[in-house]
Amino acid sequence: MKVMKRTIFLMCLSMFLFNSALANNHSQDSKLLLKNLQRKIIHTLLYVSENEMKAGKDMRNFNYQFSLPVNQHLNLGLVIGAYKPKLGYEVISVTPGSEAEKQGIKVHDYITEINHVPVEKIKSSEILNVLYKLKVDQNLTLGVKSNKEFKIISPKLSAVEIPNLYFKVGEGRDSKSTDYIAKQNYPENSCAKVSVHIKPPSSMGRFGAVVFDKVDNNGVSDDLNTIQLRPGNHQFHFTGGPTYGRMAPIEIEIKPNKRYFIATKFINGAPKIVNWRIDAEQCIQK
Amino acid sequence: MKYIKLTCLFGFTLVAFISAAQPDSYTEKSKILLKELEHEIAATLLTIARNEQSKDNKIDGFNCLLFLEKKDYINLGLLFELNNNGTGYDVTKVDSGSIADSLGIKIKDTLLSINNIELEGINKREVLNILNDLKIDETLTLALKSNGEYKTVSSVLTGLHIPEITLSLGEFAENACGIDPV
Repeated sequence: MKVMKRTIFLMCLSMFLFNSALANNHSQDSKLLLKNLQRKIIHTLLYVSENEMKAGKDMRNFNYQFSLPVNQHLNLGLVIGAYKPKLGYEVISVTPGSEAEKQGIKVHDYITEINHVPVEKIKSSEILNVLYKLKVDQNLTLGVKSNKEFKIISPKLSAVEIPNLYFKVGEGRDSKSTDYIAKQNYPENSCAKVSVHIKPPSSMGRFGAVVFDKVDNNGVSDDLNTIQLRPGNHQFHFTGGPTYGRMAPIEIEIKPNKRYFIATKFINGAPKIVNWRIDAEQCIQK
Repeated sequence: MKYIKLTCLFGFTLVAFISAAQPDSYTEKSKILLKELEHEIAATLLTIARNEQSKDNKIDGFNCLLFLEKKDYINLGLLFELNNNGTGYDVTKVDSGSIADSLGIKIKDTLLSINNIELEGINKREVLNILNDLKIDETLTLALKSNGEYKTVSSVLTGLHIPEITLSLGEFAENACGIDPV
């Protein structure tokens, strides 16, 4: 929970930084943001590369991935501090242009009621819960004490649609680098999916499609394009059709609630099975 | 401790989805840097989404792929004239402690060839391309004219390697983001 809060805090901070950089133009701005991001990515990786080199590690085996699924983001534009007895939750910051600002909330105001319940009667964890579970068009009312004046406001909750995101550094993990795997106990019904039906975009290089052959020495029907597996280490055999014949198997550490995408990549003309993308995706075993 | 309880009313659920810390053997410092980068990427995407929405652009149509080839960053610590002097390029600056310095290159030396590619009549862009293609652990051989004397120096290159990078926004982005490579 502490880590979570810290993360939230960091996240808020980074958002403020970005808010200040938020300009008003069309996708030209988005391009600029992406350009800055690209620069930031390269700078960060140069630092990382330097660190790893100093620690005697080879950046050529470096792998890093993260993904975010499609999401809705509700933004009140409000940051509150810790609970102060008899006062409430102090407003620490209000994002310019946000719904909170439109509703006239100011820094040093106190939130004293949420949905007509005084905040002293609500646990701080529950307050977090209420605020996490904000839904579009949900009724939310806040009691705000501003300069000893009390008012009730009901912010309009409209969401921003966020497309999914996938970030990867390195060419995917090969079986040799799986020795770090911690023996984790995943819940009984946890699972993940492995898919072969999507070919990577051509801008990523030359790729070909693959067909399932065997998983952990069990035959898999070649007309399946997605299979569901328990988390853990699995060995996959694929065929690439008559053109490239049989290829060396690949071992992948499957983690719960992910979807792994497999294709064959031509490296110096020779086909090699690669796990080219990992998405976050809920998986519940039936 | 109380102040750690700082929280924010952004009703985001993003953080929960950021993949749990990867148990890889990166150094602590790298882990922190990568975590910060994740936040930055997530925050940028959010800002873009907000941006596009405020302009009534449909963000769910937002779809682009940023792909950067793996690259070796090698700093020779060497600056030279922008114009070919006919036979090669005159050196204008050598950073102390750099590869160029360790090779004994001095200001006013003339660079005549790189890895046996003669620079005579070769334009600046081509030279930069040659230098851009240098790889870590390869041997770099330079021919120079220094104080009227010809000499050849060589060194095994060191530098920083960055693996290939993929950043895909939207569902199976096909199109490049239209950002100039760095």
